[in-house]
Amino acid sequence: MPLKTSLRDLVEGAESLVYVEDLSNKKGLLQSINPLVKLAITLFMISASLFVPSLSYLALMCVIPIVLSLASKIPLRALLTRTALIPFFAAVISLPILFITSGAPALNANFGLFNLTVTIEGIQRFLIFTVRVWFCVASLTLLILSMGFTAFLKMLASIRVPSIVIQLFSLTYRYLFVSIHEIQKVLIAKEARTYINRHTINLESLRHSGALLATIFIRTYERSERVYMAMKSRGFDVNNTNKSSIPPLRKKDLLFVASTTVIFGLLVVL
Amino acid sequence: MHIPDGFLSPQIIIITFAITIIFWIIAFKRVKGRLDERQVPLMGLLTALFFAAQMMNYPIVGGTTAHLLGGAALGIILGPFAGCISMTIILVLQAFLFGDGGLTALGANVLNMGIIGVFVPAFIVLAFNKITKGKGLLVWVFIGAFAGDVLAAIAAGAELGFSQPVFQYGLNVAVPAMAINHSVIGVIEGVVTAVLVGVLLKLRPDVLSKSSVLKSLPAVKAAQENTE
Amino acid sequence: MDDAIVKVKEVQFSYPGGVNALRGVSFEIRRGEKVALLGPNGSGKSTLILLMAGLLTPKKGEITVFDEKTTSKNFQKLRQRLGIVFQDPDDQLFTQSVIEDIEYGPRNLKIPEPEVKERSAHILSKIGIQHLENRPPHRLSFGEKKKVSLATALVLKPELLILDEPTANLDLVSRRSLIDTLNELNCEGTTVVVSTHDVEALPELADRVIVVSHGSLLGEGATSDVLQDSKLLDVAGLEPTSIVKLFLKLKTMGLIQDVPITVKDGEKKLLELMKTKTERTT
Ligand SMILES: Nc1ncnc2c1ncn2[C@@H]1O[C@H](COP(=O)(O)OP(=O)(O)OP(=O)(O)O)[C@@H](O)[C@H]1O
Ligand SMILES: [Mg+2]
Repeated sequence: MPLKTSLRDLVEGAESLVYVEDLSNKKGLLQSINPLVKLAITLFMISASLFVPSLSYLALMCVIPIVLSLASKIPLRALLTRTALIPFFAAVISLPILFITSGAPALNANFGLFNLTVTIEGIQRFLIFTVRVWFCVASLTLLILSMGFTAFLKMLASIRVPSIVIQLFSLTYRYLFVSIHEIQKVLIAKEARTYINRHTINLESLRHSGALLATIFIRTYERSERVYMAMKSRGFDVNNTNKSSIPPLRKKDLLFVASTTVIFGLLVVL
Repeated sequence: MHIPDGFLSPQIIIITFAITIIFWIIAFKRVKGRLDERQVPLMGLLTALFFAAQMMNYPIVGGTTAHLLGGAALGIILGPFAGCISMTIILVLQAFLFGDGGLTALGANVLNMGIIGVFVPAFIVLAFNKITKGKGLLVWVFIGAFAGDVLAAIAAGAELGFSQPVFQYGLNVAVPAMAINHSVIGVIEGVVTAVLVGVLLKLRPDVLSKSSVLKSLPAVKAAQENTE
Repeated sequence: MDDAIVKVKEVQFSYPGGVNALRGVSFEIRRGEKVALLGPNGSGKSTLILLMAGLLTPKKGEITVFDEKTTSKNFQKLRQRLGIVFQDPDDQLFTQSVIEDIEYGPRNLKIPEPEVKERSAHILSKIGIQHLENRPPHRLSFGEKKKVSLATALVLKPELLILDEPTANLDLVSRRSLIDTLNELNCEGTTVVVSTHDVEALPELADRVIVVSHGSLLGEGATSDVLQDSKLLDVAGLEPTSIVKLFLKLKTMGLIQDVPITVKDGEKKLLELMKTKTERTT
């Protein structure tokens, strides 16, 4: 486990969480919508896209996340960078589709023995898949970027998740930062005392990782006991915590639902 | 192994959610009574810890990276039902905080990593613990974790394969691809989980006393009596 | 009403893993007092504090705080009358921003939102940390974290404030302002208990000192008495302050009767001494 990448992963993860919190505090369209409504709309958009077989419709639908992000003061760059990876991965795994789909040839390349033919149908299938994946990922990313953790807990309460489970979510989130810091400390302390940089993975390095994880485990376990005491000393009580209140539905939410459905309806009819 | 949105067909989405919801209800019923003042924060911590550990990527062959799934460790340390809830929390947070794994694919992802990936290792360890009376425990932890990962990957491959035409490839491609890819991760998961359990048994057997899988081990029993 | 708000009776405690942290300790703390727990590293001070806060349970003996046993079910209700500042601020601060951490306690106690805001604003300015309000606690310097920790306890307006090594690792200015804050609170009626191995800060931190070492009570008494008792301090693995050492020497030389413990008193004493000397020679 090379230190640099592990530390970078952790730091990036923690920073992304803080960034999301910041964005979700902005006063934009999506931020002001009831979290349950947002979830429902996102699910609706994603599911609807699964039934759309035509490339042009899918491409048209992609305008929706972009408009929504502009209306919600979410920087387009944030949306685009966060939605690059998975569609790229989808594109890579579906590359062979270009060649194995039978149909009218669009491109032909001859490498002596090999004869590779890209078909129009192949391009179609390839694009439908990647564009749809982008649309889905973008819809989910918008939900994430416009919903802070408190709103997330409220959403869980709205769908009647038991309050003890909500408590677990909130504790996990709190301890996540404790864990990240503890792991960082152990990794840095370890790095300070090792001088070889192993980049290959073998049994020895895996054993090392396991032992390191155990150290981190015990340290975090002990820290969590002290953090728990600190929480308790300031009034924390599992059975008596602020229940996340269920946010009421307002006119604005209904308007949002109505307009999204109308836009979708129009797309399908057109 | 986190399946994103747009990969699964509506039928598979519905089936996987149905199975997962049944497991959620059973697991919650089993765990609810034990979730007391001290247990809730502990579970929150372990969940967070494995969440954080999952954020670190290991380099594997050919410049690709992989991370632990953690289901085996959670299932063995917390017991399968609590482990399933814990893994569910991780997967839900990964989807809702990082976009790692899709919303419509949540049912499938929980089924693969939070149910198969948790129950398989826990039951393998539990069963052989009974048969071999705790001998060679770590070998069984390794096998359990490995099997959990590979079976989870096979399940994911099957879900993808059955999702044509939304997904491009059929079972004959998706299943072997997932299984081969994740057997490497399975080995990593197996070794790391076995070492983790081994070190904990040696240094802090008391933290394992809540695990329905390991609590019958003599070392864990002794530690439990010591603290009381 | 009984004046003792904390009663520690024959308390023993050991950690899992068999470390015997306390081996039968008894003492009392009265309302309005300013008390220090003095002892070297590993003597059991932090353990005692956690026990007094009801966060650990004694293996033997019992502790009562505000006439309620720390093991009783009702103790949770007393929590708001008791403020704790942990030794390690990283344990105390666990949320994502300073302000959130400060408001965590009041929110748990279901104090109405406007009052929470009012209290936190007041405490931020009192401790002088307004500029840190929105920073994540883990990115602060150690001294800043210590201040925020103090704020998280003070915002609950506790009657009894317990601080674990509050002066450790603080620079002189921060230490000064911390001591001033504590003394101000004490004058307003808050009972203040601090643990420390910092003998230099003792005269200003406490009126009474309880000395612990290796999990046992070695002695207790007024700060000036304890500071002069080099034998007691020696057994505890501590040393008198340089100023006390100097005047103890003068005392053994027969030049003075009582030993001052602060620089200010020392200065007075020296001037007096010099005056009588010059008077005698003339
Ligand atoms: N969580 C723990 N588990 C096991 N042993 C512990 C734990 N915390 C403290 N101890 C042990 O208990 C004894 C008393 O520790 P304690 O922290 O109370 O000392 P202290 O007086 O606060 O020391 P310091 O001045 O260094 O803070 C020490 O021997 C220590 O090693
Ligand atoms: Mg201490």
